This record gives sequence, structure tokens and C-alpha cells, in this order.
Amino acid sequence: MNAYTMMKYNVDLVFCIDATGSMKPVIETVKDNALNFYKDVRAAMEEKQKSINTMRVRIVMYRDYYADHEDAMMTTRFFTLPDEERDFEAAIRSITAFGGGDEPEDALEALAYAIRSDWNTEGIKNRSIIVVWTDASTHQIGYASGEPNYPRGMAQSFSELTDWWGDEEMESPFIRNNAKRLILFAPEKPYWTEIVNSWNNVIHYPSAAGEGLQEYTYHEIIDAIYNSI
Amino acid sequence: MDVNNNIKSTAPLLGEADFPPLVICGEKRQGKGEDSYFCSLEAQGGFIGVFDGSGGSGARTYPEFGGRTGAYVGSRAAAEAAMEWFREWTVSADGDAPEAKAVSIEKLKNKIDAVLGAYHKMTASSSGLRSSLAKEFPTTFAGEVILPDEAAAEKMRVCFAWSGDSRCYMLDSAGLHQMSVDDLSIKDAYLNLSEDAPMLNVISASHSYRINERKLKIKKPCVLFAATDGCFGYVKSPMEFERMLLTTLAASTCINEWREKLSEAIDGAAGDDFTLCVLSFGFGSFERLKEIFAERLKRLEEDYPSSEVTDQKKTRERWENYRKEYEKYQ
Repeated sequence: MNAYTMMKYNVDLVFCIDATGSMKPVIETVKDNALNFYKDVRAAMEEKQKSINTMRVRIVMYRDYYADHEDAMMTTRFFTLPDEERDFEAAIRSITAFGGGDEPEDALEALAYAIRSDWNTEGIKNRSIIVVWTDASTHQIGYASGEPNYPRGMAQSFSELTDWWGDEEMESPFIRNNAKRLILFAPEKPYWTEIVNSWNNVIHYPSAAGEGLQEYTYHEIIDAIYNSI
Repeated sequence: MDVNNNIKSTAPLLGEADFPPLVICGEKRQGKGEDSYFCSLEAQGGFIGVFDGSGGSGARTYPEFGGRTGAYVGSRAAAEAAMEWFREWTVSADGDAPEAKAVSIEKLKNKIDAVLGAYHKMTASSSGLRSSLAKEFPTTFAGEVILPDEAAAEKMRVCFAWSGDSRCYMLDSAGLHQMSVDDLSIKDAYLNLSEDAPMLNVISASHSYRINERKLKIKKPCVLFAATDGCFGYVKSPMEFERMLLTTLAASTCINEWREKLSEAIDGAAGDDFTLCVLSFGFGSFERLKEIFAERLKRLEEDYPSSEVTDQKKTRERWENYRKEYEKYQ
């Protein structure tokens, strides 16, 4: 008999990585950061005696539907860590930066994929975390909707995507309000600025894909992820 | 900044407190705990209060405060403000003017706002992050101001005040009562043990907030508690928190032993920092305190057998019965 509840966290991470040509100078750093990120979250939680039940991670790699056609979006399944660490690392390492066409990219479509992930909702404490690394602004959602490989069922507008994210008053149909966090390593450009101003549970480090991030700021981000709000 | 984690006592509290304020606290990362408290026992009245810095929204670190987080600083700043407020109140309550004796939670809020506002000005530089999650120096609060009831010697006047998910409790022979209402999207104390409900209201320097208050006359004898969620948030049901309080009391021979046993019990269960402040009134002795709650523990065991704590369906049913008394004052 045990009258106490051992709070165990189920942590899911989705890494959205801009893999267009302009990311070439930083893509290897982003890959390293992605590979370290989940380890840092785990270490910080363990230091605070927050026990992890499951940790999974998936990748959404994106470019530009209009310019890159079938290379515009690549998503993986969730990898369970640490068991599938090698598969995850191989998937990250396979990313190469090319294409992209004009400066804005189709990051909002990538976010839509991320929001609609098959999140783990089992257990008491969940964290559903999306992390974006990019050096570019985003197109309007649906900018390339005329392209043959553009996904069906995509949010029709930024407003609809905002509803997919949800807020305190209107729970998202796809991601739990108390569990979700969105971390942006992105420049202060459209629509990143709109997102941090109007979506809840967002942390934005304004830079090109996290360049110049100080250690104490990084710890602030990690702490904000696992602690309750 | 002084960390005011100290007990300031012990004038003859109303002549009626059974012992000085009891404080039980622990932290998960030594030296980095984000809870704080302030307790005081004066001739004019008593105060117990706990503060729990919110680690998620208060994760920003401040070089001006030795690299401490906003959560760490916020809980201590609010405790400091409560100490100043209470001290000023005890001075004014010594006068003859009836209005000066009144407890004003609005003045407490003004005091907290002034302290947090000053801290905010000291730390105007940004961490470089933009965030819809972050708050400046966020902290919960649960506190109780206890005054004698001049009209009825068998009662006390108590002002319960809170922001966030820290709680005010009162334990009497009928059982444990939650006197505060959680500022969470879910109000059901049992359900909140299995949901990670977001906080709807919390003290901070950057966002508007309120301090809820409820003024009641409480019959003695009783025990008053102010608790952060590390104390009650890791048991399987609210009944188990009461059982924890009562079984540790029953196994103790003096007040210090109760403090030690209760601290061990909470520490064994908690996955978070915890702080519990306790004041009891009207029992006269530790033996009498034990005697009265031995009866209550017997009834608790009969009505909510500890053998059933892992049976979720039965626990849910028993909670529905237990909550009638538990929520009676809400």
C-alpha cells in the first residue's frame, strides 16, 4: 500500500528544423543543439528530482513547398529515448541544408505538423514541447497551397493555426494547454513576433537559429520547460 | 536582500496559542528552494504565511540577486513585504481607533506591489528572451491572520488570504477543512492531484493579480495550517493528507517530535519544495491535542480505510463523501 503519488513525467519533444540553404553556416550547430537539448532537459529534471517515465522525440524538417516540392517537408515518427537514441541521431545527422527559394519559409506548416503530433497524454504530468530552429521569417500559411504536394487538411489561416495551438479559454483539440511549450530560436520577423505576442506558453530567443545564446539564458529556457506554470 | 526565513515570536499570542508557530520545510535542491515563509506571534494577533515561487514562469535568473531565479526572489520578497505589513499592523492595532485594528489585505497587496515594484526597477535589463510564459518574480501565497474575538472567548477571528495554489487549512475535531479555493482551472482538490492544471492567478511584478480573502469566526480548539503544494500535492487523495497529519501526531510525544515526523513524512512523499506553517489554539497541552485528534483519526480510519488508498474507484467515492466536510467553509 502506498498513500503517495510518484509524479512521473511523460516528455515529448518535436524539433522543427529549417533546412534551407541559408541555414548552411549553422546547420551543424543546430544539429548538435538538437541532440543535446533532450539530454539537458533530462539532466535538469533529474537534478530537481522530477522523475521521467517516458521521453520521446520526433523531427519536422522543413523548407519551402513552392521552391522545393517533394523536399519541402520531412517528418519522422517519435523515437523513444534512450532506446532509439541511435536512430534519432542518424535522422538528425542526415539533414542537409539546401533550397528554400525566397527568404520566408514554410515554417507555419511545420508548426502545424508539430502541433498535431501524436502526443503522449498518459499519466499525470506531461510536457509536449516544440522547438524551432530557423534563421528566416515565415510565409503566410497556405502561401504554396496551390502546389500539388501541399498537405490536405492544413490550417487555412494563421487564425486557425492559433486555434490549433489553443489558449486558457479554448483548449486545443491537439495539444494540452498545461503541457505545451513552444521554444523559438528564430529571428524577430514575421510570424515569429506575432506568435510570441499572441500565443501562450511561448519562449522566443530572437536570433538566427539560436546564435549567441548565453548559458544562463539557455538554463532559463530549460527550467521554464519542465516546471509548472 | 535578506532572506527572512525566520520565526519572529513569541509574545504571549493572545495568551492562547498552544505553542509557537511550527514551521516544516524542505527543498529539493539544497540552497535553491523557491519556497519561503513568514510567521509571527504578537500580543495583538498572529500570522502564518507561506510563499511558493513559480519555477516555470519565474525561471529567469537575475545577476542583481546573485544569479537567483525570479521564483526564488519573488517568494522571499513577498514574505518580506508580509513581514513589514504585519509589523505595521501590530503597531497600529495598539491604538484605540477601531479602523486601525482592522486587517486590510488590500494594504498587504500594496506592500507586496511596492517591494516587487522596487525589485523590478532594480532589474530593468532583459534576459534576451521574449516570452508569453514568463512573469517577473511570480509567487503564490497562503496566509492567515488570527485575532481574538472580543465578543466570544471560545472563538477567534481569522482572515484567510491566498493567491495561487498554496492553501489555508483548518483542522478541528470534525476533520481537515480547506479554507482557501485554489486559483487553478480545476477546483476539485482530489482531481487536482491527477491533473496538472494551470494556475489562473499568482502574485507577480509584471501581471495583475488578486489576493483572495475570507474572514471567518472560528471556534476553538483548532489547528491552522498554511501550506505550499509540495505538502499536499503528492498524496493519493486529500484524505491521505489529513491521515499524514494525524498519524504523525499520534506517533509523537511532544510538539518537536511531531514536527520531525511530519517533516519526514512530507519529505518522503514530496516531489517539490515544501513549506508548512502551523498554529494551534485552545487545546491547552500537547496531550489534549493528541487526545482530541486520536478520536478523529479513529473515525478517519473507519470512514476512509487506509487499506483502500490504491483503489481509485473507492477513493473517488469516498472523496465525494469526505469533501462535504472538507469544503464546508469554502
